Amino acid sequence: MSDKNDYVVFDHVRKVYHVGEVDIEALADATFSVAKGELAIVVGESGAGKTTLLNILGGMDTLTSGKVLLDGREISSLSMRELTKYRRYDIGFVFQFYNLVQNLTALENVSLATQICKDPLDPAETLKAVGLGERMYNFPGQLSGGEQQRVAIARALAKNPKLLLCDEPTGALDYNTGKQILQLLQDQAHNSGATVIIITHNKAITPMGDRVISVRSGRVQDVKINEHPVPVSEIEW
Amino acid sequence: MLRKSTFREIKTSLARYLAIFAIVALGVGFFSGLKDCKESMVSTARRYLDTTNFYDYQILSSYGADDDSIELAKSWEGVSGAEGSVQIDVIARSGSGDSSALKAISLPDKLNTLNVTEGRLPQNINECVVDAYSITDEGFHVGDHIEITDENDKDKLKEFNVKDFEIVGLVNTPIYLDYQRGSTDIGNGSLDTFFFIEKDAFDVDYYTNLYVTLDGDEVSLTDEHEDRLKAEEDNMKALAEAVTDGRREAARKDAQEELDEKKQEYEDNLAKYEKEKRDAEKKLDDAEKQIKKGEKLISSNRKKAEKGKSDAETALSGLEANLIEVNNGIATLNSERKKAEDGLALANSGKEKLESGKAELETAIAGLQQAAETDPDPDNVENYKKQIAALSEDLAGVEQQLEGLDAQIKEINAGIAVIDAKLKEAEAGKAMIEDGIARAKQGIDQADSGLTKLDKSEKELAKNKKKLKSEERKADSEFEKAKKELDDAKDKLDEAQEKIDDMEIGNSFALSRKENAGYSSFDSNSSIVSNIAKIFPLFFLLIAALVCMTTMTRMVDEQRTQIGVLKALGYSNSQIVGKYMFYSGSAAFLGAIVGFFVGCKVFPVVIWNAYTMMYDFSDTVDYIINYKLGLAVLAVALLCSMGATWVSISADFKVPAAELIRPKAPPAGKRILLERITPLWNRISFLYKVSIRNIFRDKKRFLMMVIGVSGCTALLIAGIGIRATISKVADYQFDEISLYDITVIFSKNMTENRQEDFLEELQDGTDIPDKNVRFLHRGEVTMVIGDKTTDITCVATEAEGFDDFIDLHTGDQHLDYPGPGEIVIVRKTSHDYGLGVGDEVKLREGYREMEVKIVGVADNYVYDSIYMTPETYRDGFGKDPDIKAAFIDFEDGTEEDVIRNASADAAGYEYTAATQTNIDVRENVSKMMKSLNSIVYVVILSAALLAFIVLYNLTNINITERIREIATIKVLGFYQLEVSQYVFRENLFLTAVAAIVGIPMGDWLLKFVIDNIVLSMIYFEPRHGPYDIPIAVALTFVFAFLVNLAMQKRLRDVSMTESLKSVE
Repeated sequence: MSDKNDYVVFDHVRKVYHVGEVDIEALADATFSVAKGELAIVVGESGAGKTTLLNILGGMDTLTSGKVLLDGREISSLSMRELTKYRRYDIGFVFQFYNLVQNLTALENVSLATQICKDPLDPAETLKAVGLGERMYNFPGQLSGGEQQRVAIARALAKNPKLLLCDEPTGALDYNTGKQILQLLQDQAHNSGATVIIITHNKAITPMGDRVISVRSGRVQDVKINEHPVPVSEIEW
Repeated sequence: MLRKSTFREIKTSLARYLAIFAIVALGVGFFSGLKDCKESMVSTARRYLDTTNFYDYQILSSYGADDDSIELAKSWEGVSGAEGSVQIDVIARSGSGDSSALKAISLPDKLNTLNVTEGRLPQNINECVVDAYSITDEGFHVGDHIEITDENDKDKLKEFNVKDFEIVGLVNTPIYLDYQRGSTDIGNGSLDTFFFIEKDAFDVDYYTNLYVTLDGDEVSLTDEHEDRLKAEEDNMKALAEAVTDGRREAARKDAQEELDEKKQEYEDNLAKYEKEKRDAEKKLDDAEKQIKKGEKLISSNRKKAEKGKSDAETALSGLEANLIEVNNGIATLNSERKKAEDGLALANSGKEKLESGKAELETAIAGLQQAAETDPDPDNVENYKKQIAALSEDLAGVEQQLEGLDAQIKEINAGIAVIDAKLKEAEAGKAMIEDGIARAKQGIDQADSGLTKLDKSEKELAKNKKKLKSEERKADSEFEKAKKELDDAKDKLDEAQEKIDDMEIGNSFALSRKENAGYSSFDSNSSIVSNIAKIFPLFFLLIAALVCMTTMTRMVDEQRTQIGVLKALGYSNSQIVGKYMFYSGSAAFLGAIVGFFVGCKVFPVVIWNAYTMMYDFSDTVDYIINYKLGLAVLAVALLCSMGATWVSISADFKVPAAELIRPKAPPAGKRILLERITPLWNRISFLYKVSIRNIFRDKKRFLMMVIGVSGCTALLIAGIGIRATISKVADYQFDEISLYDITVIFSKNMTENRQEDFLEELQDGTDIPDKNVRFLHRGEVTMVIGDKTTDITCVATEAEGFDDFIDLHTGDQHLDYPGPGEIVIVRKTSHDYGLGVGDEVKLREGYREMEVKIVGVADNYVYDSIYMTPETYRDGFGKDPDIKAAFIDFEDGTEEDVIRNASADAAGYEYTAATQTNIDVRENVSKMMKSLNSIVYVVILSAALLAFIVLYNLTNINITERIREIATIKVLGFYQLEVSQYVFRENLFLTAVAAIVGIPMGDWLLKFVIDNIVLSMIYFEPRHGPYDIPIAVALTFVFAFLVNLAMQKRLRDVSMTESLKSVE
């Protein structure tokens, strides 16, 4: 076990994409850490490198140099298979577009994730926890965007992951729904002790995070710690 | 700009483009290839038939044909050429080989010309060329000799000038287009092969066959040609009759001439006979006359001789009487002389006495005178005187007597002199008489010897007469015989004349080339493939359309936004449609072109390859490009692909551009029927649930998948089934139907004695009961069904116990052996000619025909036969069926060696012509069937291709469509294997469904294909091997699995970042 404050560590992470003859440096030198149970928000403009950061953190991509640690385990040195395992057991992912399987009901979508976990939460309970107890037998198509994102969150949570990664979770949602979702995520961190990292371009929501990591041109520009994060309901954008 | 985007589109989605290309190519290739097969085969055959100048009609006459017939035919309306051919079936042997039945054919001139495949044509009467096809079967090779054996009838041998031919080449003839060599009345009844020799090698003055070509420019194997053939039927029949009439007239003339000659000969003979008879009679008469003359002469001579003799005898007797008389006279004279001499002697003695007395007296007187002179007593002198007087008186008396005696003596002497004179005279007479007698005697002797001679002559004459009689008798009997012979000859001549006078009209046949077995089987065989082709187009076009549609739908869906943008930019609908139309259209176009040309090239070659088993006239098959067909399939392919594209895209046009730009709402998840069955559904892992739901979500894709993959399974089942059906045909036949083990063919009709001999010979080495040997009739007959004919083996035997040899049954139902006037046919005959129980057909044997009723259709796979009783045969054909075959049956499980040994034993019998074990037949059939494998490989390959294209395309679409979902589950931490399973489970499930659907389809397809495979010798009944269906299904899964494997990489390459992208 690592230091509680260094639950998630990015240590001089560099990522270069080779596109033809050109090397694009998506991450030049990213260093930051997130403490356990925190709600961290990675914020940056399009092309700032936050998606790369997310990819690397989510075990979906490798890095060129540097180190990434989760709960003291170095991720940056993992093989593809180990990365899969890492995604499987340690990461809960919430997508911007929910990415639910259309042919599975809400409950089944959650089960899809729990099926492969070592110590999952009960899917139905999780759905109830995200407020979808009534809709768990509905197909995604029958649910609103917010409800779908809740399912997605439930799916991520039910895995009982070490880290909940959320990619623009409100990007496809209207304002109110987006707020509800963010609230849900904040609750998860604050009430359930989950470590949540939200990646967004929306600076407006940064006050809700325990830690705000600003990314720009592939570098971590700034890491700000909010001693008193603002409840989502109080945020306006 | 749009065009640029289109080409780029093709480049980037090459797999999709290729999918359309490939399925269209496959469909078009398969269809046009199979469709083209018939044309390629027909073209190949047509070229062959037209270059060899194959006949249109064959004119057959029971009177044969001659040069006049040919001239007649040539001048006949509608005829462009005519040629006679001599064809004689003969038993011949090559080198060390067995003797077999061969057809000797005169080398053709302009019609039915030969195609030399090896060597050259004969250049003299001692050379021949042989059937190239049978070279393998019969083992004839260039350089070998064909020797006409003495097994042939003498008459047949007389028909050949040459009996030993050197094989100088191998040929094909259009007369025998396929492997069927037909039947014959010699040997075992089936013709093994043929050879061509110079006409002069035959010693016949007629043609057995007259071939005719029609004028006009109709090309072989076309409807026009067929119509023409049909149209000329009556005309040709008329020609045939005219030929027959001509031949009959000629024959009558010939016969009459010959008869007249014979008659003349007879007359000559008769005249000769009569002359000879006359001569003989005259000779005999002469001889008789001679004899009579001889007799007469003899008798006259005899008379003469006898008269002479009798005259002589009379003379003799007269002379003898004379002689006697003379002798008597002489004797009398002699006695008279004697008497005279006696008298003389007496007289002399008397004289002497008297002289002595005188002397005495004178003495006495002189004594007395003296005494008286002296006596003194005168009484005494007187007494003396008296006594002297008395004595002187006595003396006077004696003197007187003396005187008388002298006179007497004188007289006697005179008498004697007279007698002597008389004697002399008598002696002379006597000598004369004696001379006469001698002469008479001589005459008699002469007469006697003449008579003896005459007797001899007479005897000889009698002998001659007897001889003459016997000769006469002999001559009579000989003449009688000769006469009888002549009379017989006369009778015969009369009979012959009668025959000539009532000469039969004769049988005339005009057989079109359609009745040539090879030609007609080619016609039907080439149709088989096009029949098979009939089902594929629908099938493949359906698949192609579905592939196009799903592909294009997916494409249009993917590019929905782009379409919206284009629309928004002001591109017209048609411009946008054009892009997609071009995309699918060009793929279909290229696919159709490639498929068409490749299909037309490959399929005929493969199919022909299989057919060369039956047809050997060409190794290669024509590459026919039927542009009409090409354009048609191209049109259909374009219509299909572009139609599918239109259907896919047209939906989008109804929607305003603005909506198009927005991402299409993903199709809502739906519950499927299966979920209603809660207990079942709940048991299913949701990973399966999603697969199942996916499967049923897109009906189009489901349908396409099921059709495509079930088509694959069906093709596999059919393909493997064809193989099983074909390769097992021998097993079915010999395990279930032909239960006997050996067929023996005899060269002679097996009389009861011969049967016993054969059995003895057989049982010498083999322990087999009599009842396991069945002697029967097995010969070829021609079956006439409407206007079709076919040669078929006719088995005529008694019903009882035949089950042990051939089990006649239909399915599980046992068939009773047919009764009088009835036959049982086999499935193939029934199938080929649409015959069933209750139908009546005509059977022809030689020039005899009978009508029989079909009472059963028996299962049978190898060789077609009909079954009847000997009575039916006898009644129908008017003769006893010859028994020239036997079946020998062994107990099941008898070792192969035992059967082979028995076969060898049977072959050792003197009249055994051939033996064949079913073990060999079974092997042969199996071997032969192997050549059909190429068709099976085509089918299996097609199945694989079909499966690949459909599965690949669908999986590809599936992956493209669900790339986001896949990325997501990857992000969720599914292992590679789990991801694959997640995606491919669907494929496998669909494959399973399709395979199940494919089983009955395959069954049907197999039946269809098998029904269309017609081989003249073999009937196929669609059957599956026990593992066929599992194998087909397994193979389908293997294909699916291979496709999955191929897609694995694509799946692995799905980037997880896809999950982060927005929904397009």
